[in-house]
Parts: sequence; structure tokens; C-alpha cells
Amino acid sequence: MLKAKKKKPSRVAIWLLRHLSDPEDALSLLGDFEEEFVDFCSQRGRIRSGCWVWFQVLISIPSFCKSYVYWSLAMIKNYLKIALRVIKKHKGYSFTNIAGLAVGIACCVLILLWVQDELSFDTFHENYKELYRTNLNIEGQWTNSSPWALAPILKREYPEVLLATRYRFNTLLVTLAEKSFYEQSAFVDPDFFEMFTFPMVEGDQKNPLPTLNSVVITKRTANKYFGREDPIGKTLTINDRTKFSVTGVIEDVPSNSSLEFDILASIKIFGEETLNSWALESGSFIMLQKNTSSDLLQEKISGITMEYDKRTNKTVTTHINPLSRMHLYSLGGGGNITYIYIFSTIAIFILLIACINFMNLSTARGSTRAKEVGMRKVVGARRNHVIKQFFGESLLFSFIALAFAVALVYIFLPGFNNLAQKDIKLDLGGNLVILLGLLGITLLTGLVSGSYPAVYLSAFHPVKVIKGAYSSSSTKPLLRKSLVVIQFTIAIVLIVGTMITAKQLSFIRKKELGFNRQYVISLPMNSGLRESYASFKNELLQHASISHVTSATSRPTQVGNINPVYWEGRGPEQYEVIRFVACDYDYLKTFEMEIVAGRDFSRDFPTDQQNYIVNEEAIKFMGLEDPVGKIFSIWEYKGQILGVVKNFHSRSLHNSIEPLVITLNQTWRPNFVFVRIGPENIPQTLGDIEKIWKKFAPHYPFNYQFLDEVFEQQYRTDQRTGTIFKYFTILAIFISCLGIFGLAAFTAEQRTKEIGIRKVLGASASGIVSLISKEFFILLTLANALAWPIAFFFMEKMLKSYAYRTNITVWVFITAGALAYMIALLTVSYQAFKAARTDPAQALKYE
Amino acid sequence: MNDSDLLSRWEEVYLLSIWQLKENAYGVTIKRQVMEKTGKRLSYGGLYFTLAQLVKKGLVIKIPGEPTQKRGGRRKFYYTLTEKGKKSLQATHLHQKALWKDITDSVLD
Repeated sequence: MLKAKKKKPSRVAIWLLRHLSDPEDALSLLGDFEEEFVDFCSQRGRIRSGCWVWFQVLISIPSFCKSYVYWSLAMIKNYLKIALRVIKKHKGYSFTNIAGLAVGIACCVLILLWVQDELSFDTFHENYKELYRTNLNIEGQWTNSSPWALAPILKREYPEVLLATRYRFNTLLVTLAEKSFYEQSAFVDPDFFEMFTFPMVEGDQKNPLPTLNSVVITKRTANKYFGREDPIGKTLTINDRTKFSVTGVIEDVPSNSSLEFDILASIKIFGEETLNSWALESGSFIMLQKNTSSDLLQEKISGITMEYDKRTNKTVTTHINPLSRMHLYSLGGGGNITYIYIFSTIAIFILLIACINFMNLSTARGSTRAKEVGMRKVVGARRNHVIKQFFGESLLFSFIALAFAVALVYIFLPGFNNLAQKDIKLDLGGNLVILLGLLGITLLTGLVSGSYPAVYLSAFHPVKVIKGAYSSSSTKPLLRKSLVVIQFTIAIVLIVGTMITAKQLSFIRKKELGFNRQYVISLPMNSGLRESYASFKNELLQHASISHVTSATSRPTQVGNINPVYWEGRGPEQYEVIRFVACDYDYLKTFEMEIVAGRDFSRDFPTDQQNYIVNEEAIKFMGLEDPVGKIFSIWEYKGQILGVVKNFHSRSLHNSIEPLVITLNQTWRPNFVFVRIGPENIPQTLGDIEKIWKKFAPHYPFNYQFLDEVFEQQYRTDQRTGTIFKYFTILAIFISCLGIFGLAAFTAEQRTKEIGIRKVLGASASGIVSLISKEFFILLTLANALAWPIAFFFMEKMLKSYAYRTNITVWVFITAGALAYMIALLTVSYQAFKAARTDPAQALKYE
Repeated sequence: MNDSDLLSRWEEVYLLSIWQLKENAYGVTIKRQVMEKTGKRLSYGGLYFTLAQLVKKGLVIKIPGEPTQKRGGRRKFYYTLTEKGKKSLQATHLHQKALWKDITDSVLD
């Protein structure tokens, strides 16, 4: 017994050989091996034969590998051949699958490009990881503005802060001889150029703004004013008053920059007094030392504004936020990141719908492949071989789809850029993320869509299949049906989403704002016009079509400025901040606002200059019983409440109506002139206004805007989202329909004989159509039942971002559902009609 | 004669060995014979890879034999040439003879 045991090679070696060798030859190989071992053992002894065993295993390994690769390649060649044959033989089926997958992949790629662009915002700065923006939180309200004095103090007192700059944004009128344009401009500290990566093309790198009257301009601005001439040392007139000389040219600001400007000038021009004040009129940015904890600094500086600014007893906290988060994350939550989530989810769902098509169609066609699977198994294929084959096939499909998808992306990228207001390029060679993304998406698509068919088809029992036991009717359609339900659930949710978004947008457009926004022209005020405003207004009013003219600090649709106010019964130390408009007489008349108590400003009472009109919301806010005649102050300007104006929407409809005060006080300079014109002959009136404008402000471009257009612009992002949503919905429906089109074609084909017999026995064509459509009708009903609550939930969430919102009515759901029924049944009935119209004699001969 | 019918050197050695071994051609004996003919070391992995390829090309067939104690109770598989195998071997032989026909040993010196 012991002797017998000695003459066995090591078990580990046997195990290794068994699993490394080709299973076909494993047994005879092991037998030979053991036989030779026994011979060797009796001749050379145990130790040497032990070495021999391991040596044999070791030198066999390269051949085992070679053998594995050789046979795998042989099988792959075979799988590929069969897959290509399937594609060629079933052209409709292949087209449906590839088209669906291509559209799905293209969607994902577009969204991936878009997300990549969004995430790239502000990361082109070399130091972007150390750059922060300062923000204030005033009693829970976030503001982007910082006090003028904040940035220098942070740099001086905190060693963690390496560099700091203020960033004051203005739109300036820039003139060179006959050329005159409004340009986006920023006033900055010298550190700005060191902190941010806006490369200089010309000028002194170290000190780009040597004097108060120097400007740095972008390349495109240089081209605009100077063409091919060298801009350095040339003079530009700013705001029709001051001469500035160009001391530098920088590259154009990239489209993925949150800071946008064409002109940079020194902040020193505002003067020491302003720069040392704590008025919230500038933005500021800081750059930290490398490897500094921003959290620690945050803790230290949180109270800095309250410490220095003694004018207020409000809780004001100072914050620093990474520059790279500025574009995506709004202060206090939300922001563009929401859109990234929404659109990525939708893109994934569209790809999922396409994958479902693939699964459904390949399993539905399972019976046509069953014999092949059976044969493969009979000649020795194992289940995992068949699984590999079907995965290979789905990967082949998805790679063909990838080629089409890339073409689709190239075709639709310009349109998409236009829609999303982007400048995205598809650079397959240089964009590693996209390249890997494409590969990843395609592999994932292939694996997901191949998973179910591979598992399902590989389970066929060879004997039963070859006997013919697997007819199409016996393949279990339950999963297939559930997948169709999922597809249409997604499609219906998207339809409801599109409809409700559109409904909300039209609700906003039709919403009564509390003033008449139509036929009002808004013109930008300028310094020259401010001086001659009275005569300008008089001349305009001579025109027959012009009924009212007024000026104000802000448009009634975008009242932003806030100021501290107090009123009867409260001292200056107990102030509240509310929004305000400083305007000229006739403000209420121009916008046709309604007075609910008291009276409008009147030239007959010179003291009205100090008095105020407030809105209903302000009265509620102050809790005044009988407001007219009560004492009211903004800062130190004391006056009376003259009248109460009916609430009007002074900001976007995302916000609710807030307290508001209107004053004639000219301390705040007006920025806009508003002209109410008659509805007739508008081009004529505009031409006349332009003539008067040219007389009073000859150097300024006549940049007029209609107030209703300005109002619509506020919702441009919402509209864009709505449009993108709409296109996605159309795609989702298209791919879903491709799927059921293929499925219906298959059902009709499988039931050819049944339909033939039914027709012979006297069934009508319409009876046949309803027979085939019935199944899909039931599935759609289920999809509707699932989709409605899901859509309701998400749309409620979406509408919550509006303070004024439309209702979600039952009709939206019914319309969306009906739409889905209609589209689906139209798709199916084409196939059904085709089946119903075939000659029964032909049908019965089938097979 | 078709080029594709020509055997590679290794195939030639294997087929010759199997043919010479007659009824006794199975793993161990083929391996010994091939090693003897070529003077090179041969692994079991290499042996069975080449044998499987020969089977696939239809040059040899596998015939199951009887299990023996010495083999751990495993069955022997004998290999024998098919008609196609024999023809290929002959064709290769003729081809080589034709190639060397006018060349005497002294020419190569």
C-alpha cells in the first residue's frame, strides 16, 4: 500500500495539468504522464522523479497558452462568420438593432461631451485648485458681492492667502473714432494677472496695467477696434469721457471661463475712499498657499466682515468657495449640476431602451437560433461557449453601432452646440476621456444587451431543441413583455415631462405681472444723456406715438438692489433691507401699474422728491395699518409713504414677490430710460426715437430692447432645458417604436399559420389587426399605470423651483398616454395590416 | 500538387513517428519517438497541441484503447494515420525527393 502511494505524481501537478490542458485531451494526457512517471520512478528514484514532474509541468505551460489562444481564435472566427451571416440574412432586424443602439450611444456621447465641458469650467487656470471666490451670507441670504476692503485685508492679515484681487464688473462704452460698442469690462488688482491664467500676447507680463488710465484688452477686442494695427499705446475713449491707453493684449477668454470680459482696467481708478469702504459693490478672489486647508481659513475669516463693518448689526458671515465650483454649484445648493444629473440620467435611460430592444429582438428570434445552439452543443460546445458566442455577437452589433453613432455625433454636434450655447468639438484623437468613454459605453452596451440573450439562448436543451420542442410559442415572453413595459414607461415619463415643462413656460409667458410689459422700449442710460435727460424726455413726448417716458435704476422685471430702510416706530438701528427702485416721475404710468391706496408721485408737490411709494407686500412686511402718510426712510433719507402700488412681479417667477419701495431720490443714478409707444407703426416710431437719440447721445449706439423680450430672456435657460428635453423625448419614443416595430413584425411572422387559418375560417382583416394589436395595447396600459405616478413625482419636484407655477392636471397624463397609444398602435398596426392582408393560401403553405 | 497539402517539418516528424509505431502509437511512445528523431525536448503540452491540430486537419484519428493500472486507471488513446495523412506523407516525400534530385552530398560541402 505504502509502495503504491509512492508511485503517484504530486496531486497539485495533476490538478494543474488537468485544468491547463485542453479538456478534449486532458485524460489521455494525464494517463501518459502518469505512465511515464511510473517508469521514471522505478529507474531514477523518488527525488529525481519529483523534480521531473515539476519540470514537465513548467515546460508545458507555453504550449498550453498557445493552444488556448489557437482554439479561441478558431472559435471567434466561426462566431464572427455566423454573426455576419445573421446580420446579412435578417436585414430588418439588424437595422432595427443597430439604429437603436447607434442613437442611444450617440445620445450618451453628446451628453458625455457636454458634461465634460461643464466640468472643465475654470480648470484651465494653472492654479485653479488654490483659487477661491469670497461670498457673504447675510442672514441666510447669499450674495456674490464682497466688500471693497475685504480682499486686501485677507491678503495682509492671513499668511495662508498668497494673492488677492478685487473683481468689479461693468459694462463700458468704448469708442474709437466712429466705432462705438458696449464692452464687458472688469476692474482688477495687479495680483489678478498672477492668479489667473489669461496668457499675455503683448505687453508687460510683470506690470500689465502701469497707470490708472491703462487697459488690457483681449485679442478679439484688439481686432475689433484696431484690425491689423498694433494696439499697444493706442488710445480708447471710455464712457465718452476718459481716455485710456492700451498697454497689453491677452488671449481671448475661453468659453469655459466663469469670468467673462473683454477689457481689464485697474481697480485703483475708483479711489482710495471707495476701495477702503465696506460697501458690497465688488467681487473678490483669493489664492491660497499650496497645501493650505481652506476649511481652517474658512473658520478664521467667517466673522471678518462683522468685525470690520460696524454699520450693521445683522449676522453676516464671510465664506470662501473654490473657483472651480463656481459654475456648477449655486451658493446655498442647486445650480447647473442639477442639469448634469438630469441629462445624464436621461441619456442612460435612452441607451437602456436601445439595449432592451436588442434583448427583446434577439430572444424573440431565439427559436430561429435554437437549432444552431442545439447543434453546437451536440458537437461538444459547452454552455459557456454559447454564452461567449452571444456576447460576441452583441459586442459586434454595438461596435457597428458605435461607428454610426460617431457619424451621428459629427452630424448633430453643431445643432447641439447651438441649442446648449456651447462650443464643443469632438476630437477623437486628443480627448482621452471621450475615447475611453466611447469604448466603455460600447462595451457596456454590448454586455448589457447581450446578457439576457446569452443566458437565455445558451440554456436550450440540445435534444429537445433538435426534436423541435422549442417552437416560438413556448419561449417565455413574460420578461420580454416586462421590458417593453419598462421602455414605454420611460417614454411616457419623458412625454409628461416635456408637456409640463412646456406648460410651465407658457404659464410664465402669459402670467399677469402686475404691469404692462408690452410696447415698452428700454434704452441704456449714459453719462451724457443723464445731463440732457429733461430735454430728451420732452422731445420724445412731442412724438404722437409716445405716451410716457421715464427713467429708473433697474428694469421692473429685474429689481435687484437692496438698501436698509426703517419706518415710523423704528430707529435707524432697527433697519430691514428691502429692494428698491429709484426712478423719474411717470414710472407707474409708463408701466401701467395700479395704485391701491394714496397717490402717485406728482410734480405739483415738490416734497414728493423725498417721499416713497411701496408695494402691498412691503406694507404686509412692515405691518402698517394705515400706511399712507407714515414716516419712512432709506438710509438717512426721511420721507412719507405717498401711496401703495399693487404687487407686481419685480423679479423672475422663480422667486415670490418681495417687499419693494419706489423713490424719486436721484442719489442713485438711473441706468435705463423707458419709453411707452403705441402699438401701431412700431418701425416708424423706432426710427424717430433713434433720430432723437442720435441728437442727444451721438457717440452711443442705439441699443434698444423691448421689455417683453427682456422678460423672456430671463427664462432662456428654462426654455433651453425644455427644448433639450423635447429632443430626448422624441429619441426615446423613436427607439421604443423601433423595438415594438420589430417585435410586432416577429409576432406576425410567427403567427402566419394561425392568421391563415383564422382567415380561411372567415376572420375579417380588422379582426386580425386587433388580434395582434391587443397584446401591445395591454402592455401600454401597464406602462401608463407605472409612468403616471413616477412622472407626477418628478414634475412636482421640478415645479417646486418656481414660486409661481402651473398645475399638473389629469389632462396632461391622459394626453401623454393617448399619444403613446397612438404612436405605438400606428407602429404595430402597420405590421398587423401586412399580416392580415397576406393571402391565406400562401400563409398555410408557409414552413 | 497543391501547396497546402505539403506538411510542415513538425507535422512530418509526428506523422512518420506515428506511422513507424504502427499499433502502439499513443502519447508516451509518440513523445519518445519524436524526441529521438529530433533530439529536442518535448513537453506534454506541446505534444498534445500538435496532435490536436493533426486531428483537426484530418491527418490522424484518435482511437480509444483500454484503461491500465499503470495509467491511474485512465484510458489510452491510440493515434493512427488516415488516408489523407498517408497521402500527405507520401506527397511530402515525393516533393522532397524531387527537390533534392540533382543535388549530391558533395555539392553542399
